Amino acid sequence: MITKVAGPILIFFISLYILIIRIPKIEIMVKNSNSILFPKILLIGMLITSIVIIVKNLKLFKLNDLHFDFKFENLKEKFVLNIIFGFIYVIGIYILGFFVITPLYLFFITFFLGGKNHFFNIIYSIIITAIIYFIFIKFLYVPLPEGKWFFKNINEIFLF
Amino acid sequence: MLNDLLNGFYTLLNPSYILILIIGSFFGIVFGAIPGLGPVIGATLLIPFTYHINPAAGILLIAGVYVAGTFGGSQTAILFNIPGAPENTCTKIDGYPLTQKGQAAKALSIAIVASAIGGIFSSIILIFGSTRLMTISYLFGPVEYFALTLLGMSIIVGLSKNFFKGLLSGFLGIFLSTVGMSSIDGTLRFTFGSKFLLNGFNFVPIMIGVYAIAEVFYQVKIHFNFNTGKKVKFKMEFPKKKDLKYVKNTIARSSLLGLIIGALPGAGAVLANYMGYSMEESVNKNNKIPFGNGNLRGVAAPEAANNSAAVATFIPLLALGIPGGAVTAILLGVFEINGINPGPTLLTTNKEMVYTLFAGILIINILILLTGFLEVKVITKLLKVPKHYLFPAIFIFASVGAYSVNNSFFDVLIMVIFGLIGYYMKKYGYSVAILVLGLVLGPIMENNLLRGLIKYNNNPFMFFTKPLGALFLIISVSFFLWPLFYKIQNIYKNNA
Repeated sequence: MITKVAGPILIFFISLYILIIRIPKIEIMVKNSNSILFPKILLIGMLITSIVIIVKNLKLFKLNDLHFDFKFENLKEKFVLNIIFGFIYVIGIYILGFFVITPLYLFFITFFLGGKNHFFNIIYSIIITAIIYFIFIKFLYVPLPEGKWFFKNINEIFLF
Repeated sequence: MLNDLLNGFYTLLNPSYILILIIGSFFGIVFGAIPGLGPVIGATLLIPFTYHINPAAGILLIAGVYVAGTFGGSQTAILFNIPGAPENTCTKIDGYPLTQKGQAAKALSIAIVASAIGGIFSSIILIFGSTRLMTISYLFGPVEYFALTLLGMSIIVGLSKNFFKGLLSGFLGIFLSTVGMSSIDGTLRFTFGSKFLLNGFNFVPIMIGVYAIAEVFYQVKIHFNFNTGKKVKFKMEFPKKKDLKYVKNTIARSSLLGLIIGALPGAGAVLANYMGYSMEESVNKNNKIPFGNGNLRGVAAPEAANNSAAVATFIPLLALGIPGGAVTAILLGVFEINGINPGPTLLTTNKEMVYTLFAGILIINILILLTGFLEVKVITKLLKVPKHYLFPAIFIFASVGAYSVNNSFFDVLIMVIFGLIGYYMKKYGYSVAILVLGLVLGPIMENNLLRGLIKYNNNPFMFFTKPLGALFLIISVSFFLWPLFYKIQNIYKNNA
């Protein structure tokens, strides 16, 4: 129940915060300009709509429903792991660079999502990394993240 | 004009264009056929490629994915009762019963023919209609543009499953487009001191996030696996003369309906698929085989309508610079990245590109007819790729794509964050398509509203003095009020 209305509640508070606190602080570059008018209309619209959605959901609300849908056991679920791995990958390409993190990410995520054949997982990880390498670097000439510190040197080996 | 079109066809003889058309069509059919992906995700993943190739080729690539993808979803709808994309939802109603009767090949071949004819019909209208509309659109001022974008939003919000959730998604999308420097006076809005937000959100990582990444999260969450456990055996064949005769009027009607729906900003192929089926059901009440029991018209109608609408969404985009749906919103971004402004001036500034695009869209639809029969078997094999290999690869392609927009990690982070937002929206019934359309239409809407206000001394009521603008505004208001009116009417009926 709470997660169902969490979105509108969050939008309600963010809209209220921006409308009351942020907007008065905005320095308007041209006097009598309407540059704040449009966002104000949208924020008011968001406030009203989120209230309507919250109220509509509260009508169906029962006291027993007052719990978070999120349970600790869910951490074991592939879904949460997938999100965590996603964020690890984003941080990973920043620090380790594309050529180090990508095969590692692919190997582990395919294993956690159900790919039990390690040999196939390794081949798959290498092939996908190689496909991206050829498409982006050799064909489209797009630079891929090189990482930081000594990982940068490792990545540069692949960028010949 | 015919000369220009012939030049367009001549340009397409270049091997790189032929390759783009084939890749676009194949990629579109594959993405359209894989349930949970669909043509929008396919087009989104290809955006980064368009930055690095010729603009016309890039636009054709996305157009190919969209048009072919709208057809691609019909294959799984017919064979396994699982539409590959929302654009094919109604195709399964009569398509799957035909498969159960052992007539899968018949249903598939009619779907191919109906899709191709619907698309070719709309392509011809697109070629002649949008060039005419471009000449008329010189009459459009800020009021008309503002009213037209509002109309686009009102249609998509008014027809959404949950009106208030649709409205909130729309407000959020438009609001996100206001982040960054105001184009009217340079005022910095909601940047929170971040240099990354000075130019606002780049729509590409957001789109990749809410479509591709959200879908990856969602599919893993619901433990989806495309393993139907069913083996459908069939031998592809061309449709028989009597079957074609049976569905010819259906294809004609639905193609026309799809064209009208697609040309309206905001409506698109999903609505056309529903409307095409409903219209055919109401027109043909005395059939030997009732609708829902494997009537061929039930396959032809939604397929002709959705492909016709998919092509027709290019009409408002090219003629007015207003996208009709999610994929044309992507295309608007591709145009902007290449410094091309779709709208009235497009024909004078980029005539060659416009006619190459027209010729390309026509060829893509002909390719559906030619290759559709060959690709069905390949697609059914590709569907067996396990999700634990498919979705991580999509995640990687999406991340690299988001990064390559500005070579920025901030964009990759934005992509993952919007992936989570998109997941939440999908799970709780908020429309991602409305958010994206709001994000793209937002700047057009705001600029024209403010320009209109300046023109009429800050008096919005003066907008109603412009006949075309007033008409669009009145229709928009009716679309917004219709769901409320409908609800009140229901309450009144129940009480009575």
